[in-house]
Amino acid sequence: MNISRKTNLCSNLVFHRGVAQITSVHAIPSVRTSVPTIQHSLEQSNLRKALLQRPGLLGIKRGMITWFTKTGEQYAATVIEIDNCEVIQHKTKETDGYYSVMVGQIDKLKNIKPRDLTKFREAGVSPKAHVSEFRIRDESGLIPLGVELKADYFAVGQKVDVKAVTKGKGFAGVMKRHGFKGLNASHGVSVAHRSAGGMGGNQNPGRVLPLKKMAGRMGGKNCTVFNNEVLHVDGEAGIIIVKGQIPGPNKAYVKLLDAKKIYAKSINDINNGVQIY
Amino acid sequence: MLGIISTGRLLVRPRIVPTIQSITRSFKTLRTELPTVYNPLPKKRNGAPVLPFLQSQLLDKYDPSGKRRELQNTLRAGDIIKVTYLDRTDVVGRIIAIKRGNFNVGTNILIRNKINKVGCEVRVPLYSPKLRNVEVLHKPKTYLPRGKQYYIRNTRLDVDDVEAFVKRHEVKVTKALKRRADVKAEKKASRAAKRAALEAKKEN
Repeated sequence: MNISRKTNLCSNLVFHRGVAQITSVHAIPSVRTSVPTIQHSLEQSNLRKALLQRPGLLGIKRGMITWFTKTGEQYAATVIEIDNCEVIQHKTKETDGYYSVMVGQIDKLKNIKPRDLTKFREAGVSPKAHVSEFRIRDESGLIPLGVELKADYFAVGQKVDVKAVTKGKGFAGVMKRHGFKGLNASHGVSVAHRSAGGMGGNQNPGRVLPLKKMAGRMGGKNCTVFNNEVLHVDGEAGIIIVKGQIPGPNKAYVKLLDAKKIYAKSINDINNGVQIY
Repeated sequence: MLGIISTGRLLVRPRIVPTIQSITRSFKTLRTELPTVYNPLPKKRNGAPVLPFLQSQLLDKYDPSGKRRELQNTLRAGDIIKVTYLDRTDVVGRIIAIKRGNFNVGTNILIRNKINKVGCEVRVPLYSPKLRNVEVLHKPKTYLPRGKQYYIRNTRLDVDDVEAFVKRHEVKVTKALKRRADVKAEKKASRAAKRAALEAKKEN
């Protein structure tokens, strides 16, 4: 007993230069913890992005019509043409760091660069006039190359987002561009009825603050309209009718996607354990 | 070796001897062979443009008998029509304007009436599935100018109570017809009397 105690003491003794120390019995040298998630990594950022499960469609805006429901309600609706929209290329996490599907629309046989021609040949489709990319959540949404995406890809009654470039308005004043009220029509205002008015303080801050709304180029920018209802779908004829307005002039190229806000909400609900009936 | 005449030597033309390089080099076009191009998919709708295709489809859907399409072409600002809805309610009014489009389901008719001396206007979508029937009550002999007669509002040309007008007109027409018939009958009777008188003379 005595001897064993002695040896134990000896083992705990740490000798420094001139001093001998005894490590505490309660001291814990190290703890094994779980690997921390790095929030600024690609994977985590992709999860935060609420990326869609499948790619969308490419279409052409063809104009607006009147739409009657069965009960006789009247809506303004936009007609979108789906013209030979086909899958051209995949981008995967291994090669590009993310998953996406390249989709092309409108067959165009002339004046295409040989470099691009090879791309279309690999997919087994004819060359396309307009090619665009859809990011997706994971590899389950990679639709095989060369598959034609028809208009009945979307269901009637479903909500879709439509992306397009808005009509360019040129250099527009502050009233048109930002909806300012302008100055008075009378009370001594001269030649400045549509101007912005004050730009900020005087000596303080002594400058116009950044992001001050001023006149400038208006329109010609990417725009998304969310949650437009699909009213009619004709896969054979390549026609989709969407309720309401979408950006851009007629003949503009548009992107149609599943409603992102609804999708993201359902994902959040699943993650938070909300029961869905 | 080019000889010069002044020196008295013979002029020797240089012989073109092919160089070694030009013999050994083989010529190649820089252009590489273009990759194969796949045929495009067959054209949809037999190449018909989308909007006319769709509108004709919709017209067939909302107007299978073609009655409304005919109305769209025959009606004119100034006509008086009666629109009946599916729930058997109806509206009567004089047409002020027709908004037409080429093969357009959005065609609508603006009708105006006066109810209790207050001007009332209704825009009727011609191809709406809510409509049961559109009946033409009256077509004037002479029309006011313009296809869109917005200018008649609150002027002496403005519509009056349309239903009363139609009734009055009907009475007028029936009266006129009756008068005409009476005149005809009178003439016939007089002619018959004359003929009878002549025959009587002959017999005598």
